[in-house]
Amino acid sequence: MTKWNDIKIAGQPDLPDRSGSIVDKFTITIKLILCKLSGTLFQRSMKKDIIILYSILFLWNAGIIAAPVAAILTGAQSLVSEILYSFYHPVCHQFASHSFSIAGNKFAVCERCTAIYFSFFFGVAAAGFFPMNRLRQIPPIWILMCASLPMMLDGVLPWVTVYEPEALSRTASGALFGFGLSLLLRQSLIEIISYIGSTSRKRLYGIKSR
Amino acid sequence: MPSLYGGLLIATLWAIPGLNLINCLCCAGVLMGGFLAVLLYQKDQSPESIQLTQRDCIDLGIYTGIVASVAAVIIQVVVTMVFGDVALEMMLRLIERMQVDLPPEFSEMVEQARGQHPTFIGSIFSIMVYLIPNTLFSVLGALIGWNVFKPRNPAP
Repeated sequence: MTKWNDIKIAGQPDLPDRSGSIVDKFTITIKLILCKLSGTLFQRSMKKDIIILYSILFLWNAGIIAAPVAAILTGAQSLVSEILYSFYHPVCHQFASHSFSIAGNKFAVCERCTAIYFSFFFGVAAAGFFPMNRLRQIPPIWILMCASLPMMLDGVLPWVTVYEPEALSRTASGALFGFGLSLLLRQSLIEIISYIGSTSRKRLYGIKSR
Repeated sequence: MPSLYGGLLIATLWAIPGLNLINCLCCAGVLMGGFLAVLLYQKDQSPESIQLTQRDCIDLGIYTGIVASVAAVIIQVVVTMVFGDVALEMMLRLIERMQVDLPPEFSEMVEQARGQHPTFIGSIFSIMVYLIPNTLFSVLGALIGWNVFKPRNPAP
């Protein structure tokens, strides 16, 4: 097992001895955290495929907020906001009463979908920065069940009981679903992007994939 | 065949009034279609055959999405032509009986649906519009299936 003092990151100065005053220990701990974070940022996550995935997800999420912002800036019936709302229409009912809003202009998707997409993005991003090995050891079927069950119940219970979902329950159950999916799908999505990238490179330049 | 079954499940969930409300849960019907395709494909495999790969699952998801988009529009047209607004009225009566509190926009949507009659151009347009999200979400469903059913490495 790697010991606390053995952790070294390439390009980083050697860490001083752990022994010393509490202030020293605190300084070392902060340095260690910074080293680990910078190591994660610049050695692992800076891979092209991951950045492409983050960018796609970021753009998708940005579009959700851009629609009401465009409606505020250019008018509710403007071409830009209409295009953005139409773009997200096939994936969501877009009911105003079930959507977050900015200055009276609804988001491009409902509360539940907003929570799903944002938590998916943060789940994918968080996996790059924090060790989630323990979570990944859970059998995927359990992740899927735990993530989707609250959302399914929130959607189905109003039809069979007197339960009425609130904005909070829609958001929380959606966020849980999105986060669970991010645990399941992150690696697959990175592999797909990597595959598409290598295939395009092969086609364009006739070079071998990585 | 698995793609066909998955696609038909998605199409049914899209086209039948009432059932299509399941897609309000992040296109759950479409995700389920992709997942079902992988499940069926995996069940079809004999122990001697080549193991399921991620690429197979993506292909299955794409085919399922395409089948779903075409089949959903066909089923929708057939249901509307044969039953007219009967299916819609049945769904509304069901909702009334179950005393579900639906948002006000839902009644506007129903009113819009009442006045619509399928046209050839409109159907082609619908296929084109729903092809991309259906394919995207059924691929995601298939990838969920892959992550659930993929062969595990034995513990060291």
